[in-house]
Amino acid sequence: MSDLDKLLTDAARPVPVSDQLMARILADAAREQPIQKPFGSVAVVKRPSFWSIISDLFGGNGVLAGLATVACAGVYLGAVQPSAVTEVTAFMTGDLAVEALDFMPSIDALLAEE
Amino acid sequence: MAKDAQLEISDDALLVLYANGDPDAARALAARLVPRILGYATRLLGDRTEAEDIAQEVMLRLWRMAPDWRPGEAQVSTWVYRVTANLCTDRLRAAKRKQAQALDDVAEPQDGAASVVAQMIDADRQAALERALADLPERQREAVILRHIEGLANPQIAEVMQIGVEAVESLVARGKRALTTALSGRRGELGYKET
Repeated sequence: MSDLDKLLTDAARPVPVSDQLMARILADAAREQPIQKPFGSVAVVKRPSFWSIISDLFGGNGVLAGLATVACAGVYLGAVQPSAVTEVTAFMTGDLAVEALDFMPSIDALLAEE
Repeated sequence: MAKDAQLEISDDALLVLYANGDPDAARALAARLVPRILGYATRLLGDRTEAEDIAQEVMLRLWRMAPDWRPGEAQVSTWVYRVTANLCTDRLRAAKRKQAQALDDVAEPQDGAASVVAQMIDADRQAALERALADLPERQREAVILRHIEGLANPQIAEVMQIGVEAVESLVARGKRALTTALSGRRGELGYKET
């Protein structure tokens, strides 16, 4: 081994680290360290309720409210059966016989004046 | 974490443990890396106080980078040496390559291990080496220190310096030749037998 190699080997002795420097470095480490999460601490996911599942199935609360309104209206009309509606339904189902249709009911009076 | 376990864990694994919040991992990692960073920075800069600042800065960057560290892609020690070299280069350039001074705090031999004269010779030799290293071109100095003082293999030095292995061999060889030339005139003065 040459003198230079001996000198380099001697220089490779570990450099002592002062306690102050190590304390500064460990303080940095503590400040920068991500917060430890304990094992088994999983986030609690709430199970969806029955109504939220139904709501999602129909596309949201707004759509569900619309459907409920229409259903109520259907039940009401079916139970009360207003005359205006029964005439229309009778016409549509053929129960109401229409012999003549007067498309312009006031035209006769106009023609009579002339 | 038990001390025995820490000795067996790789730097990679310790860094991951730190990122996962293990409070002992930082201490174990610092105990391994800081003496190496400090030694390397001291030899590059020739100034112990500045070297301590560099060591703290390198470790701070390591802590901040820990959550993004991908184990197995690179060695922590290689990353640390590279960052140290870059920071030291910045300092040296900022200081306009000021003349390196002999180290004030050369490591003391153990009590009773050497006589006072031997200690003085040893200190003189180390100071002469520090001066000769400081006079080397920057890249040669880095290569010689990493190879012969830090004890890294050429492929790892190539990674640290981001050059090829052949370039490392060339830098080390030229650096050693320059050191030999610089110190040869002082052999007698440094207590070596003249040949």
